[in-house]
Amino acid sequence: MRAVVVYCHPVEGSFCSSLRDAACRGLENAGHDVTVIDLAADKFNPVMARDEWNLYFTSGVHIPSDVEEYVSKIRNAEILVFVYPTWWSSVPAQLKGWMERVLVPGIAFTLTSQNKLRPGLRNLKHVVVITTFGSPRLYVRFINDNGSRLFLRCLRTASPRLVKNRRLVHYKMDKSSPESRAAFQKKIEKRLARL
Amino acid sequence: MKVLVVSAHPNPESFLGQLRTTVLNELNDQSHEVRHHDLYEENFNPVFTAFERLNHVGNIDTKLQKLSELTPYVHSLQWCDALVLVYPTWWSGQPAIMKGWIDRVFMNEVAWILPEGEARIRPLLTNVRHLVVVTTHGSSKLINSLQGESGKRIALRSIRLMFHPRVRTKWLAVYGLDRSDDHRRKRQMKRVTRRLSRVFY
Repeated sequence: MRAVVVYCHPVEGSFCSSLRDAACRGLENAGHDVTVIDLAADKFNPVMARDEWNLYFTSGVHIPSDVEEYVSKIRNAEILVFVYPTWWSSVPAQLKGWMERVLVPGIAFTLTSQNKLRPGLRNLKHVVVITTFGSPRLYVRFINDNGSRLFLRCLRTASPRLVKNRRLVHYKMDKSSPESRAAFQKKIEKRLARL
Repeated sequence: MKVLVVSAHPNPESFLGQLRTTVLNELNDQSHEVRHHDLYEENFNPVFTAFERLNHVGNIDTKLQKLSELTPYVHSLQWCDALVLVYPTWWSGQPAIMKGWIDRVFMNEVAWILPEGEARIRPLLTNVRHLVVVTTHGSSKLINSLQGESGKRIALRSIRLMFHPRVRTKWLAVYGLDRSDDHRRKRQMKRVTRRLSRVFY
């Protein structure tokens, strides 16, 4: 299957980038065809411009030139993997902006004449969220994991009903040990190899 | 009362743009001291840089020397008694420009500190006693509930904990904008203004 890994972290060589590598290894071991989208390296601009917003709900598909490449990648993807650190209980702004600018009407969903939502990414079979939290599990349960909700719930409206979701997380990064980190990397590799 | 309004929308002529003007007028009418930042007009860059990640914990003055574009926002946050966020809800949360404003401005030694030897962070923005969110949703309340209202939780839970422990929060949201006509929009606008007028009393 074709897999796209969307990765967002400002520092290359961080723990998050090792999780991206673990995910790629797992997918490749299972014989999937892997493409990585690295938003920080691409210097992706997450701000939706005024012209783009004005065209958002007009008929037809409007894709700005700097996101064309991403659109063609996700249109073919059967597995979407998101790797990011959780900040303020949600995704980094760059990834949020990627969602806003790439998953536009006509691509991720279509609106019928009665303004009803119909899924657009019919090719999608698996969505995997891989993320890290500084806080412990209980705190996250109270605040809610608003980042993975974007992909596991909101993105549901854009994908066919049978899409399978997986969520792999490491809590308490502030107190993590080299062992817990290595174990998490192994877990990612193993789980993704099973897709 | 000192009120800080932070707004974000690409088009000032949109419904949210009008809502922003109404909010500012209402606050001025109540003779509050108002400071306003519109992130789009100020061309705010929401991308968290490698420098900020690597200097995540550290002295605020040295950090702000490098990040001078954040200084006015930090000062405004430390100045205000009430914070009013005005934004459209996109994919169930704040637009990237506002999420980035939170990511970058609510930094260590501004919003929170971790005292040495302690396990829990301590909030620093205890000057903020009111948190008001004015937002618009294209879809209905039901759809938003199913999607988990992540923007609401980021504002009213995640960043709220950085404010005064007894901060009063108010969620002034408009739902179902995609299907509402001019008449209904006018009513929705009036309702937000009316509720806003009662917040600070």
